[in-house]
Amino acid sequence: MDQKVLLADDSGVMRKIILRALNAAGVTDVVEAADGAQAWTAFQTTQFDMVLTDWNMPMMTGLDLLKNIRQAGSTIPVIMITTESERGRVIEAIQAGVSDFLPKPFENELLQEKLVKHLSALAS
Amino acid sequence: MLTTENEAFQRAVEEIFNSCLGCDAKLKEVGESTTADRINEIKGIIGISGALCGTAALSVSRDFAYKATGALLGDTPHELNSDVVDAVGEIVNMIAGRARVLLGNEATNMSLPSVILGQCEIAFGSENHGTCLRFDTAWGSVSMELVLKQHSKSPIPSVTPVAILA
Repeated sequence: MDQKVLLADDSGVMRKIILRALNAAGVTDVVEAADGAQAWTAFQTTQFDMVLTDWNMPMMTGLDLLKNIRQAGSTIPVIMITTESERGRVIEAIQAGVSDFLPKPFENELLQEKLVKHLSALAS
Repeated sequence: MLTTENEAFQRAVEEIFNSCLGCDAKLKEVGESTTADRINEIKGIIGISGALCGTAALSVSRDFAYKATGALLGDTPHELNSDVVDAVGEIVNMIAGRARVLLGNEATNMSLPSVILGQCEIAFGSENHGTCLRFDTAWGSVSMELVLKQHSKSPIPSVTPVAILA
């Protein structure tokens, strides 16, 4: 797949885990960001097909990143991968326009499943 | 829903260790934090604020941290590097997140995790006595130190101040 993906997480280990899953799903064009502000800067200067983001990050939260992306008029899939899995937080993210939600810790198979689902929708 | 913070963190440690690391953890004892808990030299610390305020700190040995990093990434490091630090931070982050879900307490926020290297004691202040959950695991002993208070009516969320004593 030739989609370009933005991956935002302040944990280098988590980025590596998600990157491995992306590679396994055939996505190799990935831009990594270590905080929300870095991700937002990257988003404004590059055309992405999908965003995977943590919630709790320095400088800018994943939720604010999501809001910025939607306010900019973008409708690309944004998947939140986070420990913020309580009902209220999920609703907050849905109201902000999140496309999918993956609570940490996650099974690799479930991440793969979500990636394939959204990437396939992009390809069709 | 669980009623006590200790119970929630106990179950969160056991679940996260089992599901993410493939390492069984069994609670050995619960007691006050003591200097004996300084033996593990890597601590992942996370602040909790809001309705539930305080600090949670996971202490692991260097060997445990290497094996945990290996379980997460596939390759076991042989030296203390940024992957090991990130892995310990991520593990304590997931434990605290899971405990919050188990407690059903949405009116809390978690700080970003910090990782402290070297044997040290966490001093929680004169009015706060830390509780230590000590676990036996396949990779050696680990401990989870907690100082948590319910502040459901507090208008000002705050994190319990701690000092790190080398």
